Amino acid sequence: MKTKKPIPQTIIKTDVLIVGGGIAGCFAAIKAREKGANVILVDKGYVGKSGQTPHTNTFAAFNPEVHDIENWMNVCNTTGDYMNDRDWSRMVYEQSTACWADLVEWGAYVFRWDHDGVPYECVAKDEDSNDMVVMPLNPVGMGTIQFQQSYRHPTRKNSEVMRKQAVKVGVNIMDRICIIELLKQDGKIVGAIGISPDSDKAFIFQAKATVLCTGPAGLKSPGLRCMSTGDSDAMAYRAGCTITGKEWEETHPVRADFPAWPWAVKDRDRLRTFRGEMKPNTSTINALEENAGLHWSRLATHHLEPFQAFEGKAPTVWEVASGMSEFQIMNQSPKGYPRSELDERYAKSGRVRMVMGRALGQSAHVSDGIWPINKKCESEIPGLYAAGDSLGARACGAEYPGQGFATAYCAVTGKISGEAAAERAAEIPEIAISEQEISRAMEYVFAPYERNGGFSPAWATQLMQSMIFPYYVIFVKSEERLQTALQQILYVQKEIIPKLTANDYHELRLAHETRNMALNMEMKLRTSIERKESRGAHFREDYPKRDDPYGLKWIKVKDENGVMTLTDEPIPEKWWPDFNIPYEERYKREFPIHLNGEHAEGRKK
Amino acid sequence: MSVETIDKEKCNGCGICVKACNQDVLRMGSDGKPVIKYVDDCTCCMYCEEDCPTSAIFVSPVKTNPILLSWG
Repeated sequence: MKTKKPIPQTIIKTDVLIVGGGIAGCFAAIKAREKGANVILVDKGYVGKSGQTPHTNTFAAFNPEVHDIENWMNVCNTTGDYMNDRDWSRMVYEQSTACWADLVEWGAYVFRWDHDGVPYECVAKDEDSNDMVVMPLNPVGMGTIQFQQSYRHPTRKNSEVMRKQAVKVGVNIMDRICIIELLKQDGKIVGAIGISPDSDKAFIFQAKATVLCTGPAGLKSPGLRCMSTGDSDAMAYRAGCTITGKEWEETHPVRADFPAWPWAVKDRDRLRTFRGEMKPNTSTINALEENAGLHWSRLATHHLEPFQAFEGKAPTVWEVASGMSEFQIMNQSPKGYPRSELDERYAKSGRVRMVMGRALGQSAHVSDGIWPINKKCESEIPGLYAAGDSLGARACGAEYPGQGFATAYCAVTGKISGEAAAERAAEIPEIAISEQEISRAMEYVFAPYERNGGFSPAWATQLMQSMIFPYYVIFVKSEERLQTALQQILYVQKEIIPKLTANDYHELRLAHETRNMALNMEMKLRTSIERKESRGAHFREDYPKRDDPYGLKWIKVKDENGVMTLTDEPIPEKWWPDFNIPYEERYKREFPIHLNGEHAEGRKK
Repeated sequence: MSVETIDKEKCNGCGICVKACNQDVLRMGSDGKPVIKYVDDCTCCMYCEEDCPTSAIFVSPVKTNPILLSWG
């Protein structure tokens, strides 16, 4: 129940505060601790079970003995439509092996790369039987682009491994604390304030360095399995940081007949199937979610048609055929639930229909986040660092390069940011937070809780989902539809968000998540309007081609005196594609309109 | 589309599901068994069902949208 009593405060001092306990957060915490810093790792869920971490199952570990760095870079550059920062891409690849070795040393489960003359396979230990089984480690189907290799591993188990290691080296883990706002003093970040659903008080962390690793910024789409509320991007934006990469859309699919059901590793039966029964098959196209470059241009090459959506049909992404090794996973339905008639027909012909929309509202994996000012993951504001999905280092450009890149990126940037934060903590003297800043933050955090009556946060979130999720807003974009959606989100920001109410601390968390998601969606819509071309995972119906050199820029978003302001950061010319190569050759994967122009043209008439 | 049932007979009260629930839908009840407290906020991630050592939890895979009211 609401109390009108003053809310008690607990002040906790530390050298380094890590916010979010996925791969990036765990690496940051462990590495900062190994550098001698006192480290607190907070997570609004439970470290070892929360984050996107449990959802992933590959790790792109570059091994100079068997891999060619230029091949890997080529995959990244071309999949990302030349929008990646190549220094960062290279850094991620080059440091990935060391992070992988760390994971293995900490006791990470499965994964022994067994080259053994058989490419793209790995040997793994079955969790239940303790037997060694061979699992297919398929090449990523990247059309004409070079294959990439990576490790596959059950990250849900490895989240627990990372937690154990963090505890072992002396990281102070505080679960179920949701950080709401950064604390600022004299232009520096000096910590953060948070709440817990389990106790009626405020947690004030005083830290010499803070690392934000709360993951991607979406809208809580069902079946996603991670929180994805963009807390880091929103908190950093409010504190004055620059955010980038919001226009690239996340395009993972769901089962057409069970769109809210998280397919793949769902329960122990399926896990066993996944591990035991699948036979190595090096000739299959990888149809699992780590598939590469899932952007519109790729969809077109799969003879699939996004404009189907305009006819009231699901925009099919994949038809997983029975010849593919993943068919066994995809073809399983939840027990006791019949398929739809249409999907039954698909099944009878040996196919599974997957449609767009698994992580709606998010940006493509690790493509968006807080703009770093150096290669130490440091933000523009001293004392603030970011890693993983919260870091906008642009290592992967306009679309995800595939198979295990995000996991490696999170580990590498986690490590870099943790070490940098520890270095800062060792260099600067004790800090203090003024009473004034604490009371400002307290008022901000608890305003929805103190308010008597107002809008429901869950309702506001659902409202925004219905504004952003439709196919005509973020999948097939156009100026007028983006502007319409923006006006709606601005209304929510202006009239609803300031009047959100919370009856308890659970709802207080929801209120702030809703506020953060609204802010992220405003950034997404504004950058999507600003980018008047199609590229990577950004498809504009009204500008259906890449536009060189106009499009070779990163769009940065920043608060300037209360106004969301967009600026361009040109991509260095040395990283541009060769304009002497004709467009069709330069960009081998075409957007749908090129292959099937009559659909788009027909619609415009 | 949400966590539907927790079988109190099968449940051993270990509390793993409460930890696994990122959305804070589940809480430990006074009887030492978890309760579904904020069902509207379930995002159907199924971690609770997946992690339950006694298979006591059932999450419905069926798509439904809770009817939410604007006022808090």
